[in-house]
Amino acid sequence: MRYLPVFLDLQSGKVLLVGAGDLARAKLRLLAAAGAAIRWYATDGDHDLAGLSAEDEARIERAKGDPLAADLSDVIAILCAGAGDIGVAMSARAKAVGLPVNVMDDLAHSTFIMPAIVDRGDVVVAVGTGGTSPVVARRIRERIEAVLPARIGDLAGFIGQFRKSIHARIAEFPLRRRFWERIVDGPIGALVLAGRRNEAERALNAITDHAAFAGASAEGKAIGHVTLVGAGPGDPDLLTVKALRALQDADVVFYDELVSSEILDRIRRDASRIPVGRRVGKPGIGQDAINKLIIEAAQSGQRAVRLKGGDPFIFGRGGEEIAALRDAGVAYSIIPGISAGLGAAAQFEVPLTYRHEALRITFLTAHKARDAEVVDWSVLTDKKMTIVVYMGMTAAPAILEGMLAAGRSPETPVGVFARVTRPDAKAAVGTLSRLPELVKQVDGGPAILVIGDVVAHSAPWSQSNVTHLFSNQMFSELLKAAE
Amino acid sequence: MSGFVSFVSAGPGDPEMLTLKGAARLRDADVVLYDDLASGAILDLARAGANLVAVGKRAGRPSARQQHVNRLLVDYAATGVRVVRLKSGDAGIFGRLEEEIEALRAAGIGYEIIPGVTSACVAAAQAGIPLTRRLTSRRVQFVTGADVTGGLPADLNWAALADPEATTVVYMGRRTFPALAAQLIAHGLSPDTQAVLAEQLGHADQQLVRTTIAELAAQLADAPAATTAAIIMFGALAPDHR
Repeated sequence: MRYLPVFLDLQSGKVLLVGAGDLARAKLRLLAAAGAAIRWYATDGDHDLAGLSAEDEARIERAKGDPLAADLSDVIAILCAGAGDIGVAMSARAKAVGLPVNVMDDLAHSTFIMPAIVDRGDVVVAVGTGGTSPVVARRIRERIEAVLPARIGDLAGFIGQFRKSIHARIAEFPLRRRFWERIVDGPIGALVLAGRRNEAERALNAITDHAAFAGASAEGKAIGHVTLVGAGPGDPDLLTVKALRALQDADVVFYDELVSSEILDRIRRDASRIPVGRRVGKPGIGQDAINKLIIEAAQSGQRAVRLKGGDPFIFGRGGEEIAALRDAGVAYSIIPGISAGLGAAAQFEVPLTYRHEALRITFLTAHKARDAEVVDWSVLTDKKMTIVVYMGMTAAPAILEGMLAAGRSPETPVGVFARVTRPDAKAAVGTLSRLPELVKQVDGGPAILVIGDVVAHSAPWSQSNVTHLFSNQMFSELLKAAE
Repeated sequence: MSGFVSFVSAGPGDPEMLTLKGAARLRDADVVLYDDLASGAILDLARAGANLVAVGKRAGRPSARQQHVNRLLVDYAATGVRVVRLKSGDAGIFGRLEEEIEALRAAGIGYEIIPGVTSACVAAAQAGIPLTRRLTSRRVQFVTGADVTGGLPADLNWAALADPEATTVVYMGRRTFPALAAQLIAHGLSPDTQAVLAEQLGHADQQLVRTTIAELAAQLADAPAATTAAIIMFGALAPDHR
């Protein structure tokens, strides 16, 4: 981020506008509509301007003479639009006295840039693209315009009106925030957005127990809650809308190491972030300690999120956490996510089910060779079953051994899909007999192994492996012929 | 100019369970081809001028043939527009995605697959029952209860299905469950094995019933034909504490 968005107080001074023609007039209208007091030097001497209200007109001073000699004592920013070479000279003068300056379409001589603006009164959204693409900024603005209710500014003003009195009634910040969230998300906010501000005021004034409205317990503390959130396979855009909201509402987030940093970036900025997970080869703080942390967070009145890679209930040990929460009497909810196996399937086009060919899927985990040894492979030799193995890189040789011993063909297609849906995702596909070798080709985990005929329909297989498979078969045929 | 198809997994039907990427594609789409099962509030995300085309398959009703859907996809994309193919749950799980992809590959049309939250995970979250548990439920399997004719698939893997240490999720299996349960019991699975029937997942009238495989089979044998989606979980389920 090179350009930091800040908001300029238009009541603190005048904006100096230098320029002529339609460009200058467009800027003038924008500034006038925003309520700015403007000193305008028309570089072509033409000060005509139609269509402004008397009120806006009253704030425009039509200045004559050389803008380079303009009085800057009450000026807070300088804009040049359609000013020609004078813009460059103005820029030098502004820089010399330390005033922010924008020369239209000239980043090199500007010290600030104008964003695309969504104006809803007190609510203003500025969209910047670092000056690279006004078209993109406009498109984003249109999107925001479409989702922001027309009266969102009224809602902000409404809250501003009551802010002090509520502050006096609810001392604790987290409880106060929750009070306003209930107002914004509930019927009172809806009344304001519907233009029924008087009714909303009456409803707000009718609240007698503000702490209870905000969800405080009998002891006056906020009631905590734990949300188990599935973070999905890694791409932050594969968060669900609900998961994103939970991250934005959290006071504290306990996350696994496997959750990508791009997803952690979506957490509310002032929430605490606490890593608790394990990584292969490195012990975490342990499940009991995690349970204890999330219970304590909720009991202290916080909204805690337990953020887990993939889905919390597929190899996520979410079951143990909710059992502990239940025993402790802590309220919880669960937001499912996209399990990594499904992320791998989508990214690499592995159809986990396939008409007539793959009618069932088994998901299992094999962390260490020992885990693979306890799997009953004999029930998994079914050709119409796709097998998806989580955390199975280390145990790959044991998985191969188990499957071969149970009688699955060494020619069964397999894929190793590492860091799925992340920018550095990598796939290696081949036949079952090569599984331990394929695991080494993906440059580290975490990885999902998929075993089954469906892998032959995957994108990496059709792109690169067909020749390899053929050469393998041809080689074995040649060997047979030689014997 | 060649169009592009985004396969968007809709999840269970609740717009909040859509992925951010899926929601973005819907907002940008010129044409949305949807199954009835994925419709409802999610379609509200599409922009006002988008062309919404129902191609759905719904249990108990005649449906557009798959080949017809494939042709529609290719035809719309060939006009150069942005097409979203909305699929309920996760597109890759019993969604017959492969057939539509093959049609696009054959026509040389670009596509992407956006995964989603599959019904099994939604049911598990709603019921508070994990699909896997350390030591007691090491394996979870998803199977379909209906083949293309609507009957129980002929060549099921009974050894895997009757495994008491696995959790099994049956998609599209309400109608055939009595037959499935009878076979499971005959293959040694206890009639008292815990089961959950989840109907209308993600909708306001969602229902979750916890029972045993024998009781559920008896209940469904007498039930009238239903038109809503349902999935069934059974196996080494965690105790019910709701």
